[in-house]
Amino acid sequence: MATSRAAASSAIFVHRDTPTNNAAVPFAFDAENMKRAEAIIAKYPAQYKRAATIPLLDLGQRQNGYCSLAVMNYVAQLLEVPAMRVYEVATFYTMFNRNPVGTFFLQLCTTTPCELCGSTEIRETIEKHLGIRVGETTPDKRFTLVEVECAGACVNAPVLAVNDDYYEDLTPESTIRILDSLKQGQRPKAGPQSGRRAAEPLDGFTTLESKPYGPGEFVRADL
Amino acid sequence: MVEVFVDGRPVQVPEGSAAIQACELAGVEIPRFCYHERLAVAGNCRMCLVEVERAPKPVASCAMPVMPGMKIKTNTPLVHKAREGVMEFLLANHPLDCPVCDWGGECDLQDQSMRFGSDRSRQHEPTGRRAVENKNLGPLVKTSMNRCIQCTRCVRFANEVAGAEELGTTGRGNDMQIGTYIEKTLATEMSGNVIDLCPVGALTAKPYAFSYRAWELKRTESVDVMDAVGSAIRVDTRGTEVMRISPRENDDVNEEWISDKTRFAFDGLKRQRLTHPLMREGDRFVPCTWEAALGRVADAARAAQPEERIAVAGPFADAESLVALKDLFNRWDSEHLFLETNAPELVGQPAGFADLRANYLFNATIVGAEQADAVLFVGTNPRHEAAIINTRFRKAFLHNRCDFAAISPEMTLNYDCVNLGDSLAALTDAKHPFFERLRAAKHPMIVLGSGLLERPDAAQHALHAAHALAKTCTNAAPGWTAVNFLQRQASAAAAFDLGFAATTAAAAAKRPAAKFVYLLGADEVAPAALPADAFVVYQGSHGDAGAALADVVLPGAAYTEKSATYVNTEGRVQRVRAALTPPLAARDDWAILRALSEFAGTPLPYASVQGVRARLAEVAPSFAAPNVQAAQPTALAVAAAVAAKAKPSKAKAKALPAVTLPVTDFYLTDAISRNSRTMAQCSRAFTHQIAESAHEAHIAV
Amino acid sequence: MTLPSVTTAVSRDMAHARQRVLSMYRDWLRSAPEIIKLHDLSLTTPMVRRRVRLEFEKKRQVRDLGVIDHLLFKGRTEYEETMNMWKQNAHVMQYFNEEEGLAIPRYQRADGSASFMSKFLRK
Repeated sequence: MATSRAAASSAIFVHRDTPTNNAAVPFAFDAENMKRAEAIIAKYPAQYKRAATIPLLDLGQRQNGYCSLAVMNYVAQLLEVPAMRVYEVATFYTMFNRNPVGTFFLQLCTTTPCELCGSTEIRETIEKHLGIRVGETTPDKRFTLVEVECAGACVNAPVLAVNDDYYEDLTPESTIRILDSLKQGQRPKAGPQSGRRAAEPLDGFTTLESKPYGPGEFVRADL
Repeated sequence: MVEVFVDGRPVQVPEGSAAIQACELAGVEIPRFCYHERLAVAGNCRMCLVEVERAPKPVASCAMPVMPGMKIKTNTPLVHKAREGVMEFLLANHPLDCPVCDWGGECDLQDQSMRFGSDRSRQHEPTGRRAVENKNLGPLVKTSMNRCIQCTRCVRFANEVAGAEELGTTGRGNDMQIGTYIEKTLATEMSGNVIDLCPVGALTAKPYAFSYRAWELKRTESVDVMDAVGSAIRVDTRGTEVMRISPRENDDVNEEWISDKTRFAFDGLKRQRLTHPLMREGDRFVPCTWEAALGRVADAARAAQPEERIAVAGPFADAESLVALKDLFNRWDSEHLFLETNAPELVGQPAGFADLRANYLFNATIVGAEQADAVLFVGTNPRHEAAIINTRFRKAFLHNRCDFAAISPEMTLNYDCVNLGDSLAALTDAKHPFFERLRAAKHPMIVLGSGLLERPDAAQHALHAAHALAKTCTNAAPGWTAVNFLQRQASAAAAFDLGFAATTAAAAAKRPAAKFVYLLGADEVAPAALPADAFVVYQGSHGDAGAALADVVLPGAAYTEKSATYVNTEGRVQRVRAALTPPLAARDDWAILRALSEFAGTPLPYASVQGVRARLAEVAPSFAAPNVQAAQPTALAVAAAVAAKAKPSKAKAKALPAVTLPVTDFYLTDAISRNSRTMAQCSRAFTHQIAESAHEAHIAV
Repeated sequence: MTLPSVTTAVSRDMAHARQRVLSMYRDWLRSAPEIIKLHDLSLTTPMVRRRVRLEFEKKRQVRDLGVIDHLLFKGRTEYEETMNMWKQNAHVMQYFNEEEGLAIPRYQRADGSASFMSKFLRK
């Protein structure tokens, strides 16, 4: 009988105090984010304030760079819920980074379609180019590489997300180009790197090529 | 009512019940792990799958509301296969450490895998079970998280009942684990209940880990006396030792929870026990025979004038010994009988307080506390003085949106409570907006604490002001009693019922200096209140503060070693049963007093425990019917009428001292808990927040 | 835990016999609290030790080596039976009839049945 090892997550689901990540570190939204937070909270009825947990955690993660214990405690305090309720949410969703990550958070999709289209090659390229392995951060704290499950851009596989931007249709060359320009502080153009505009076929449109018809066309004359 | 069919048999169930409840009513046992009738439904273990006609797949019966005419099948091949499958999934990650697991022998997982699981395993790989690190939940609950099946009963209990919202689930899927995420102990006095709730051995008792097997224990159904709630407990013994105490179900009192003190303080029964009569010789105690000890006590009693003889009853005094002590002292023409509650200065009760049962009982009843919608605490912290009743208040908070306020020093409760300051003037003024809420409430409650009795004038004032306030609660439901008194010691209600603590403050003030003091398990008496030349007798189970003051020490039985009667704070008469015999030369408490009466030449007219109980029923008719909490409508009306005559003045309220709380450390309140190692550790970890050192944590694991 | 039996032996001379008697005497004294606990006696440790002493004193004048060896054997048997709970409470209490005797008869009923007091004092 074929068996496989149970896959364990690389993240741990308990908190370990570090000098930079503990309950004593202060955190508060800055003025701009506070305004945003108020707008988010205002979306929900007052008694269901806790519904704002996920957007506020995201806001905190963006401000702080990662979702530290201080961010979670601050959100709990803001929403008047026990801190544990926020910890539960933050540990449930993999997109909350509970440990520090680099300035550029590289999330490489390695699910089946991307894998078939060469994500393994892309991974090896990144690992070689940055000198880090999956799950690691470069010593200058600029790049962190992780593997993620389906990023939802299978038509443009393989895909790498750098913070909020998707870089699609990657080849080892385009990957190196992107990484290099990121290193130089530039922000390369997001989207497909193959010259495609979006998800159309690589060798041009094969259907719906004609001009779309307007109102009244192909309609009985007496109508 | 809705009619459903379980395996073809029709049953009537209330609307909104779950299918599992219908099956239970039909007498069909459905296996379950996560479902617990006193907790919210989680529906995550899937063990309770049943087949419902016209449902496309098996449904979780705990989360399925019944529909009229629903046809549930619990004994079909589909159901058997579903159970086997679920069991296999649960066991895939459950370690095979039953031989070293404390829960072995009474484990739901063991039992159900035998009964409903597959008879063979399909697991072949030598590795691959999930590993989860153990959590440190403090000195009471030992964790072995590898065994956890994520039923979340403990999480639901902590959040709903105990109000400790630090416990939750982190992670997801295969990595989901129970814990507090950050390193934290569970700050609740109810934490021991998660041990009973855990269907596997993930949460077990730390203080008595690895010390027994379930099948070695002799079980004795009894009643707890660590507070005045009278929780139903089961005392499990092996040989001559209590091995553990666990709750029994009693919906009228403790549902099925007990506090940590009730559960874990019993190791105090094994330390500092008095096993022989002792006589003071200089500055040391010398063991002697009963004859010698009783003879000396009788001589000392005879030497004192009637007015110079006083008796003080402690927290564990049972009704039998209270009535024997009262009868004995009355034979000696003395009526100076005190309770430890007002012991430090031996001040006596407010005038008329002990005359009416409604004055000193929790009239709304423990079950009634659940219905409350506005509660005012006066000089009491229910969390410390009656943790079980506090869970009822928390229920009221969650389900009735009950508002709470307290006239007391600052205290931390596990529900929102407004502090109205610590002056009784707040009660007389009744100006705070909370009082508007109280007056408008349908089930208002004013809870007076036993700590008030330390100052009879304050207690009297609070009682009258409470009645005056209750009178203004015009919206209260008919028959509802707003004024309640919360006792904190198991002996108190019986002592009042028997007229034991009838000495009024005025009478107490007039008595001459005591020459003969009889301490019936009383340890809190201020040494200054006893004249230096007084002859002090201590009768009790532990060599604690009271015994240190004594000239003669008479060893009595602890609550696990006698068959005795106690009255809880709501006036319910209950029996504790003897699980063991008193150690060595110790004797039943009433029998010691009976023997002493013989030595003193004033023999009491009963020679058996039945005789004492007949005498109890003669003194207070309520003792004739154990386990009943009788309503006291007449007494209540009289109490209100008496209080109405007194006009609590605001000026007087201002002159009274600030209200204080009698219990500062929940874990160390009496002779048994003070001698308990576990309780000392709890006090350190929870009350004083001193973290366990890494070394100790290592040993404990 | 069962107490192992002691092998019988013949004493070489008076000094050897003396040493063996003292050793047994110490065993008895040391076990006094344990005896009280085992047999649930209402006696104190000094009371048990005094009784042990008296029992030994009774035979203090014995000088015959053979008799001493015999007494040693009986004492060891007695000790083993006591410590292994082969004796019951009543057997142990036979040694203390004197102490009890002071108290009980006074409280016995005329027909000899136990009264509350006699039961209380004897337990």
